[in-house]
Amino acid sequence: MSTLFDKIWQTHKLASNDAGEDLVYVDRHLVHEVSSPQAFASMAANGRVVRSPERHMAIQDHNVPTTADRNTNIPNPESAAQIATLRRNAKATGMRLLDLDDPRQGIVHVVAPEQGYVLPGSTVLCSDSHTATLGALGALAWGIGTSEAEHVMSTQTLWMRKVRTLGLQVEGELGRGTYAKDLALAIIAQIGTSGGVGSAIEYFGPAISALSIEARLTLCNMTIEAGSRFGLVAPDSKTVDYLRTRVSGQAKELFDQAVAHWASLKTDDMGDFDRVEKVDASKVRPMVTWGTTPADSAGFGDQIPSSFGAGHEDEQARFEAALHYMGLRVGQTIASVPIDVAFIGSCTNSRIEDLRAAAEVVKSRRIAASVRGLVVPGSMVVKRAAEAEGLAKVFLDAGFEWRESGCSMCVGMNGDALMPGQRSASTSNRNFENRQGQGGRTHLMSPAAVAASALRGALTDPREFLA
Amino acid sequence: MRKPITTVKGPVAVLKRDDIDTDALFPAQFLKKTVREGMGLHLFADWIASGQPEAAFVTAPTQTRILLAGRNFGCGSSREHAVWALADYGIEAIVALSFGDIFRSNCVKNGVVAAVVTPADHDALMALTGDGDQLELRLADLTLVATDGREIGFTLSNGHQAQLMSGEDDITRTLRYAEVIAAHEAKVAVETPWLQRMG
Repeated sequence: MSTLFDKIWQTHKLASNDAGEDLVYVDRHLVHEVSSPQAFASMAANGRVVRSPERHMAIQDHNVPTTADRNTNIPNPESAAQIATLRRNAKATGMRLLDLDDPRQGIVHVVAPEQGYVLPGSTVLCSDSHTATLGALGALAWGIGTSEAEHVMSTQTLWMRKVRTLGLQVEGELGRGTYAKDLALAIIAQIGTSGGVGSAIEYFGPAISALSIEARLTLCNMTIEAGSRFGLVAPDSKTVDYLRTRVSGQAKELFDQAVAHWASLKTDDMGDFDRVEKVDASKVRPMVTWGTTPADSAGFGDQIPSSFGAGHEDEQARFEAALHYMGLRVGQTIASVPIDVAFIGSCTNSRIEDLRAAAEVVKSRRIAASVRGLVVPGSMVVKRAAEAEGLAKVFLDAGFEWRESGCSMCVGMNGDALMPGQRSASTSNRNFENRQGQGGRTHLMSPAAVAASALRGALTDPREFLA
Repeated sequence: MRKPITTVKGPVAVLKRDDIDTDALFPAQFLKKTVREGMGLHLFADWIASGQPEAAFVTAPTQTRILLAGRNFGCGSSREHAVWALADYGIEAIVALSFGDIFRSNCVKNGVVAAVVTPADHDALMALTGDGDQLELRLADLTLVATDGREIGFTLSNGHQAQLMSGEDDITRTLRYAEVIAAHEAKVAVETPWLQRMG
């Protein structure tokens, strides 16, 4: 009897060493332009080659402009150089690349599931902490550093100590106006920013079965914000249906055989987890962060608390620094704090269902004159789908900018960034200081909540606009 | 081959705040570099600009070698630049209650000791230690010598002790497993052939 995590680990473990580390085989490795140049350079300097290029895919996402003329105009020379470097490295190593002008381009964690690259029971790595996103398809997917990426490209393996398992049982069902993002923020608030350190989190229970694959991707994406490198959901009929039309090559030819194989990919017994935490989805409300870690969250109608955590001296110091940075005060009601920017995008919430949820709120309405609204689809595939469905028109008519795909204002590297002191309602994953731009203040929430906040020009519970 | 490490000794900077993330350690605007060198210039750049006390050691006249941090140090983004910046500045060890997992792995790859102490020992260290005080970490017996000479045990991730002390490049180590890796690939080709190629 074992967990899903243990089963996948076991089939990929090639050896162990005295230090308790296992040599784990890596089925798929994803590469982006920001975390890879030093890995390629070091390999070249040491005369090492990419061992198995067909198991790797490079995608330009972090630095790419989201403007319509980006194929001919990358204003920042350093961004342009990094993009050109990945192009050169992919060519030199025989690795495929989804370049700026590729119709499949987008954020790596949006593109990989969308293109059927991620299969249940596989191991998937990327030098990016949000790689846990991909565990939503029943894969072991985790973020690594650049040196580890160099190891993966050189050997197709990684030395890693097996982690413990945390079963996150989610009962009940999410209410109206409440989404996977709210569930993720509620879970992080419950277990803390380091609650998942050293553990793989498997999400299960009726509320998880009820989530679409896209919603599961959102939930698993935020796993790293609870400190865990791995988030996963066992594959079910939704997983199979999602993949059926997306896979290619042998995965397409042998799809039925693969599906039969995936039936064993589940945790046999709840007792197999090292630890179990329970969450009742029906108690989760639309959530919004007020501080500078994703655990600093509350409902829109709540007030800023007067202390944080157990009141430990260091925690209190962080809490006070967070409020100071965010320009908020104890006792202030969170809803109605004015915002400057509304950002819908990022590997957390930029898929077609996210855009539909936001469009439902803004349809036939206008965003506040004081707000800059930005919709950045997670991939060019999502962008075209949204245009075909009429969602792009809904956003444009409401006063939002409608952009090309990329990481954009989630990480603020590509020119889309907050100005000092600006406050955003954002569907991204990190509200760290300066994350979206130096001096920028980020409030994390669901796409519907960002849409509602854009309309009001202030932090707003999405249920105010949902029938 | 990195230089083997047996002892880290030197002045400490105390960072009281929990959850210091890698965005703070190395702001995204400097991630556009394509080389590893010179990253120390950007260590805590935004926090220095805004006068955060935790970043004061970077511009202080004393060369800090060891950081005494709180809970969940190095959480967030996987950017190895955060560790490159710390190492380039001259940090050789970080003592904390806990670390972000990816950051901790990145530390060992770059010869930075990421030592965890128990909450009780952490409280004692925090009470005892001030900026500029000398700490010493011995890797052989995983012992930290506090300013008052008290010896405190610390832990490293399994495997990190040997890796730091040997300085061996882990790719060289792994390439010895070439046959095992090839055998696995042959097995995948038969049992789960859909995993052989991405896309």
